[in-house]
Amino acid sequence: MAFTWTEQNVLNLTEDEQTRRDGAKLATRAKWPTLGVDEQAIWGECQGSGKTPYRVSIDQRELAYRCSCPSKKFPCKHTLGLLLLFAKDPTLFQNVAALEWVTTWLESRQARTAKSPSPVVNQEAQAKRVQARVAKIDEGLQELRLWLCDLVRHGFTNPQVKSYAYWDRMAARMVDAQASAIARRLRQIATIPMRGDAEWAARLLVEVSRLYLLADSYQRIDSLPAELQEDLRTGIGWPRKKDELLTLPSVRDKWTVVGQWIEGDDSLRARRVWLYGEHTQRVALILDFAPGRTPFDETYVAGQQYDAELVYYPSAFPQRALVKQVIGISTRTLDDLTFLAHESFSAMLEQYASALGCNPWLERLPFILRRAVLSPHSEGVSLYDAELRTLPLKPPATGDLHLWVNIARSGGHPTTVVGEWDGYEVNLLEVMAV
Amino acid sequence: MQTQWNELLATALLGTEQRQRALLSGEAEGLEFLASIEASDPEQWLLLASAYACTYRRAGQIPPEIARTQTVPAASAESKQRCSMQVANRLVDLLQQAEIKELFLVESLTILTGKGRLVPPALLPDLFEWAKRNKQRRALLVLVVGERGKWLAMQNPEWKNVLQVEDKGLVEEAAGSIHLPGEQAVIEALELSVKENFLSKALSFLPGQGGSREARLVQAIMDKLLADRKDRRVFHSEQGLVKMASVMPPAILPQLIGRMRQALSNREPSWLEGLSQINPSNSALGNQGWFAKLAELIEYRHQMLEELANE
Repeated sequence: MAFTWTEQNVLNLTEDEQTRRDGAKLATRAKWPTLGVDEQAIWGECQGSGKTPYRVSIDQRELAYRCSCPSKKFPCKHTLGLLLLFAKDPTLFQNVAALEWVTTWLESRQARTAKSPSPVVNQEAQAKRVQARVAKIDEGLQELRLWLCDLVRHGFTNPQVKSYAYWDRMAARMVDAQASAIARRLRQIATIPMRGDAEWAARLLVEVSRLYLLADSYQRIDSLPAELQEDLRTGIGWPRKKDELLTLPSVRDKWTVVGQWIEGDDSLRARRVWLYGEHTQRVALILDFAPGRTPFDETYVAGQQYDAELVYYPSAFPQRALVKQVIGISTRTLDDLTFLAHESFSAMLEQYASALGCNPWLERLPFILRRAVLSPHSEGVSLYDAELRTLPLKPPATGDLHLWVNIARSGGHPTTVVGEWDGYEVNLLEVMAV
Repeated sequence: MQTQWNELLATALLGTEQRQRALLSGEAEGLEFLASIEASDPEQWLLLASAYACTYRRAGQIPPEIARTQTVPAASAESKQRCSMQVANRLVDLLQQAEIKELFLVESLTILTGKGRLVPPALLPDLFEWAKRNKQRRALLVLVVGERGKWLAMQNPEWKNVLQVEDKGLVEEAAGSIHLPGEQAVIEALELSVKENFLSKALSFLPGQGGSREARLVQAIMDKLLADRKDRRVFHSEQGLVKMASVMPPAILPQLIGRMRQALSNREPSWLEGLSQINPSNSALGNQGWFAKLAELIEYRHQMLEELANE
């Protein structure tokens, strides 16, 4: 099953405006001496500055693309141009057998994804490495517990609490102890005392006490249920091997991308892509990272529906997943998913409460809410449900018009929204236009 | 629960050195279940009690009712049709380069006004930001933002005046017939960027001198541009090129594009590829750069006008 391309879907494949503009310029028949399509691929040759044309091939089944141009952008303008042309007028593409360079690429992709033989593992050495890591983490977490106790002994009004260096030193210690997730959380917590709002102390207490609970529970990890042990390890930053995860049972469903969020800075960006399974009614989170301005490995567009097998990371409340295999791609709208939506915030919070009951360290829960209203007023912007109940909205960064674009799209009318709830505020991901 | 939480918070703020006894003795109302937590010291007790209490609070959260003052009436329904997706995408592109392509954006909005079409709601915030400090731009928006735009402007104090245009003449001007640049405008735009006198040559396209009026105008423009291209002293900023492209009469655009392409392909067979990479202000590229960029801008405007014509 091939993906249904629209101009908007194609443009959503990149965040780079220059590539979008350049791609749009290349989306004319005259630029492509060769165009073709079959069940699996779309391909074309674009006459560039050299004698040899650039060769673009797109794997429609797994949404992968390749271009022979030297551009480091991904997708490049040629890929975008070819897809835009296909979206505008697919009849320009002859349905013929794929050219040799297309099939060679498709075959090499298939070969790469085929299971490679496992390397010989020196089990003794591996056990030693694990043991060393366990010791490092034990030592690091012991130090963290003492440090957190010192923090509350002296109190949050202690001036050093407002110093970033105070938190960063402990974060660096956690990196040494191979507890990377705790290091990341400490650096996030460091920003709370500097916010200066009325809630900073309450929020700081929530975060440091949850961190303590994590470190304290780790001392008794062997006595906890297996799935909760996994959540503890995730909370600490114990890495999971992709190969090992892919051996776990997979869940096949029609997974629709309902929203995504990118955060981070110039050094590292993290992306959360939320998928909803149509039949299983389960949520899945694809979490990936990209350094600097490097694009993410895969492109996800809201509304894409993957007929795919996912493997969940083991957890008492499984959310994070890996894509094991994509069987086909199609498109959906939020309207098609209303059966998965909540009618009220209370219903969403009930689900959140039961999720917390499974995993007290749960970071956030995505939700779809029907008949929600985005209402700007003199004190800010509110989001309320059909029962006229509200939850705080994450305020936009200075100069960020994203929230106002969503307000304009809904015009104050009830609509379907997608968001993330982290126990404090709603992070709005998508708003259906009215 | 709130009282218990406030007790924990007060202790965390002051530090257990100063407040531990009250907590451990369970004197504060409602803290009994927390006091049963086994802990080796007051700090550990405070951190564990806070962790349990905050999880309890999170799990039992009840969303408050919205205050009446925080609800606003929704925007009224539109009486006019919104522009097509194709034009909307073009406007997105123009807004992202509004500093440079201002003239094209103004032309697009003027045409939409003439056709009685509205811009898509998602573009309103960017358009308001673009227009809020310029009365000509604000006048241009009044007739293309519709009811949704009026509603949105009322919601954000930054935009409360964005659709307030005191000089009604400006709005009428924006709503008037589409102004198509005349030959004199072409001459003036080209004259602005050159040193020698182009006027006498350009006037040769006056009627009665053989060939169609459009063909003679295209010929005069091409003569001038090609002469400039040979002159190493002539360079243009991108904004200057946009200005030139924006005054070319729409009727001559296809012919002009064909001639410019031909001129470029005669010397540089693959000029189209990499055209967007050319920076016209980069002198190392010489006159090839600005000429190619001008051709690209003229083609861009032609596509834009074709899309708007289909509205």
